[in-house]
Amino acid sequence: MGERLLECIDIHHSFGDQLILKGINLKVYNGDFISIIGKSGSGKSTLMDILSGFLKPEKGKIDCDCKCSSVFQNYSTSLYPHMNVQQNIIFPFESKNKEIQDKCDYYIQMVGLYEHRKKLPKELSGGMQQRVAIARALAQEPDLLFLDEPFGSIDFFTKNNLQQEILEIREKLNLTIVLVTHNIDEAIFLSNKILYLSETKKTFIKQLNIDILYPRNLVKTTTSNLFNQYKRELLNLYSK
Amino acid sequence: MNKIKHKFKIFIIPILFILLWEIIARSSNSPVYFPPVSLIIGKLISLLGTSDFIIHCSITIYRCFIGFFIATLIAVPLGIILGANKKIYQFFHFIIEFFRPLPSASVIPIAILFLGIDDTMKIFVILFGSLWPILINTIDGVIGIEPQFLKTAKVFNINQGRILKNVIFPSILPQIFTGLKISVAISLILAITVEMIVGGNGIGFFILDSERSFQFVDMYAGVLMIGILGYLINVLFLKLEKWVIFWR
Repeated sequence: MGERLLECIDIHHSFGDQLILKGINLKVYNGDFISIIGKSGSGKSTLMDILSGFLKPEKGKIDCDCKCSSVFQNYSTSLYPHMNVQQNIIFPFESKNKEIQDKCDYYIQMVGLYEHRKKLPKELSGGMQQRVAIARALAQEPDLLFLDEPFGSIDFFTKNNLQQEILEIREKLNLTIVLVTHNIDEAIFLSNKILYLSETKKTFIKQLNIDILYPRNLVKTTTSNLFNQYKRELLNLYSK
Repeated sequence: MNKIKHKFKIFIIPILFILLWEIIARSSNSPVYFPPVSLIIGKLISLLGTSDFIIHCSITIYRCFIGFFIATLIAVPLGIILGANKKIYQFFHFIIEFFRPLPSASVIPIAILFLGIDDTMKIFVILFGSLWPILINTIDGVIGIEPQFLKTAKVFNINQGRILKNVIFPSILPQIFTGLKISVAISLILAITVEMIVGGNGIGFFILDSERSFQFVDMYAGVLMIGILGYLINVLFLKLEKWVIFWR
């Protein structure tokens, strides 16, 4: 187990009278790939907003000593339409010096979009736009990366490629990742820990450790017996 | 070839209209009141060669753009402030909703009372009329800004100044342009109206003066000039919009 990067202690949150999260406790260690799963309306995205610092929890504490960055669910609105690929990635930086520009270009290259760097988001496909969002998050050189359903609105083949790429980037950059998803297959394939957020209890009711070795191959992993065993276990939780 | 066909289609109705006008005017019993288009166009061409008419046109354009420009300078920042701050907007809501539907021509007598009949009054009336569409559209633009744009900026710890300059302003530009296009047309209408009412100079004055001195061909030429000006201003704004909002 690596060094602790983030800890949530007894997080509570509600919107008006509606309780969304109740007593969330979470520890994220260096090297983790944690997936938070749950049904629609279970509060996954609210939790992600709290973790990424966008939302202040009503009650509870978040201890985070590391640099974080985020990739959002909706790629079409998470990129600024008036900025090209390069400008979108460099925008979060105050300074735009040569070093920063080179760093941004490095990550654009990493996600395979170097020849598209002068294009506007509208000139790119959905998968390419999500790659830009990933490159923008990576350019911040985070220790911890939050992914909020990043493959949700992408076609099957692009999604598979992106998932494989995410694993490769994680390996290369030694990234710790927290992913929110409603897709069980995606969660098992990518992560080493899965947390199930219950829509009725508003808290995690299950932690599942995925003991499949990295590097993972999509076909081999998803057709293995272990994969199906985890899937059955999670499906049982979903159907309850 | 298709482009040429399309361009040609645009002119079919105007050409038919002109031909119809020409035929009716030539066969009419009162060519003085209803002169043929060929005569009006000929007159306009000759008027454009005179310094008097050019001065009238320039003065109208000057008033129209100064009023419109000042209205833009006031309405855009004010719209951003009001759109971004619900409490301030609620405070100003009644004032905006009271003045916005007020016909601008109705403020002319009040404007004359306080500002006299010179250019300041004329520009004020144009400013007053063209302010509201820009203001309302800017407020709507800020209120309707894509929440994800702001969320992204906040998560990346971007400061308020940069959010305003690089996120909010470009995001509301399409709405601002909608307001600008409405307002620039209103500016021209008000410039002509105020010139007709108060007199002195400008195309509005030229048209009314020509009518009163029974120079009807001149009068029609003045109206034609306003039509041409309005069309050119609209084309200019469409081109400007396409250039400024290049990502659309």
